[in-house]
Amino acid sequence: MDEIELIRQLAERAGEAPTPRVDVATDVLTRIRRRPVSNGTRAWAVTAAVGMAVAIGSCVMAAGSWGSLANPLADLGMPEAAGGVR
Amino acid sequence: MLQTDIDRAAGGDGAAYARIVGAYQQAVARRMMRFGRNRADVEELVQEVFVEAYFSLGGYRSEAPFEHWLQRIATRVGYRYWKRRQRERREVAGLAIELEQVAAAGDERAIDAADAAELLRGVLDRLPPRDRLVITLLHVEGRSVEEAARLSGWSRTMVKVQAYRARAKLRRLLESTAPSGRRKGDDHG
Repeated sequence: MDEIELIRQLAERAGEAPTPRVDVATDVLTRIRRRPVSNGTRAWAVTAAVGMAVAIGSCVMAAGSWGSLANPLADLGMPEAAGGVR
Repeated sequence: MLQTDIDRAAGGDGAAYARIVGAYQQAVARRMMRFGRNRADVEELVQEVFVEAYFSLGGYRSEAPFEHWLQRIATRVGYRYWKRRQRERREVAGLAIELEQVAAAGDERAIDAADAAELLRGVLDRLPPRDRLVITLLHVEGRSVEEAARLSGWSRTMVKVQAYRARAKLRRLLESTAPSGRRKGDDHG
């Protein structure tokens, strides 16, 4: 008899043990209410907040860069490029 | 009705979720009997399954039967339980004697159901959780590779590879402790 046949025979002889009656609805609801925010969720929230801050900062810096680019163009004798005098 | 309760539960309706738990708790308990050692373990595992299912309700797609979806979660929870236990487990004395009984059980028809269950658990307890899961699904429960893949979340190839490795480990485990004169091959004369 090989190992798998042995396992099958043991499983067959063990049969189906009677399943205990369970009544867990109340406990489940209690555990759901008490479940703290997981570390994973918390880490995700922090990452999202930092990401958003970086994105906003990048936009602000980009706007600033656009303004500083306009002035050198004006210095090169292209006032209209800087939205300047006609 | 079930879909309505699922939608309501996903929206935070506790009473709707309690109805779902009530309808499926015995089926889940039957599944968790494979994983837990006693009634207290089984009850704890059933709770764990329903807590995890609640927080995963958003991922349930109604094309598949709800019970299948729940059984997949149950298998995952049971597998995690084995992994936790493996870390906690300490080797107990008498392994060789116990496995001798298992080897002898093949010839001994008189072994009763409780002893068979205990011996089966004793052998499977010594396998790593991955091997134990695949042996349980394929050979204890007699499921197909397809079903084993669905329940474990592994690919069919992974199930086959894992089954091959698990079988080799099981063979080594049994051979290493078999009584002298009853090594593999003895059955063939």
